[in-house]
Amino acid sequence: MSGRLAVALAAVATAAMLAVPAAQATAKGRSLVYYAKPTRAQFINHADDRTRGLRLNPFNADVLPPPPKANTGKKGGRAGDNALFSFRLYADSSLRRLVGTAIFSCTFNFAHEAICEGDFALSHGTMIAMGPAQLDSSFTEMVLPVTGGTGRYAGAHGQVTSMPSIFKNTQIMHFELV
Amino acid sequence: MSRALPTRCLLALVVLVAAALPVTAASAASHAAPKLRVYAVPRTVQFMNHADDRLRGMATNPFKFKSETAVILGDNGKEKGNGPFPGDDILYGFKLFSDAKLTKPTGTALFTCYYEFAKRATCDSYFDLTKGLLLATGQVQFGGKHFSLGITGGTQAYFGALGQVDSVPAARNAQRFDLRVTGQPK
Repeated sequence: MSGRLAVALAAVATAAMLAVPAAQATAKGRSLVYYAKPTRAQFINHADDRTRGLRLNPFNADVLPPPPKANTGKKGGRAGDNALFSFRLYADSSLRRLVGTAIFSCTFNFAHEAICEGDFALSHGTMIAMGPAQLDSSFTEMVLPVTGGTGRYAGAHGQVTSMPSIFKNTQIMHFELV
Repeated sequence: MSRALPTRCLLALVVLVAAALPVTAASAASHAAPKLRVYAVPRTVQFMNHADDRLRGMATNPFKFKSETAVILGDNGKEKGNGPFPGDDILYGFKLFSDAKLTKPTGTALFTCYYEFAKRATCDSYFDLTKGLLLATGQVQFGGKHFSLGITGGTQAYFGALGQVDSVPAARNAQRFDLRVTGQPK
């Protein structure tokens, strides 16, 4: 009897040991911090496509109006414009240990907000993130869901927070992964 | 016998607990994902007609495809039929409400749709809700009333979210979105 009990207890203990690390791994996840220095930027102005879209579009007359000031020529992105940004990624705030690059491809929607896809090429794989960003002077931080990756980051999932750093005109990019 | 009884009871308890563990896990896994229902009212829209880019793309492009398969032009040099055509994109801004009467605001949603062929678009959308953000992507047929998108991620309360969004028309010129969120570690 005592032998059976020992076996049963051992089984339960093994199950508990297996369960606890799995739960911890889920709760803790992985955290990565990079310092991003901007290298290039390109703005693509689609004012002509907006104007044409008002005149030639597949909707009925009852379609909602476009945003006011859609094509005013004032500074700043308008709905449908694109912006591309490239960065070098460093592991340290002194920007000595280069670990990869990042590209953000953004499409403006309304009120200077854009949906951005971020592609991060790191030493051992890539990660992809996508989400909204306020691309004007009110920018403080953006938080994008991480939707996937390759190599060491295959199946990556979580979020990346990007905020200005006090170091050398850089952004701090903080990945929190499941 | 009297000594064996507590031991047997203990063993039975251990077996029961051990048996319960996988059952609990299985039932949790098979449990229906929590559904979040919101009603969306379109607030603004912007259609981008890329006719000039298509025309330019016929003359100057890095491929060797036959240009007549790319864009169908009429005698007047304009595109035949009604769009949206490949390359056009459309942006929708929505206000979100938690009730069908549209009295309780609960956030906003943005759809950015890039048209491909046969008036189908790939749409990237995000739902900016009180507790965080949900990201969804998928195909939408122009003029279609029902569509489904895959939830590919989220932030804050929806950190690590996956799942599905189903959309159907609702009363008061609204669109109903049922968000089934899974895969959340928090």
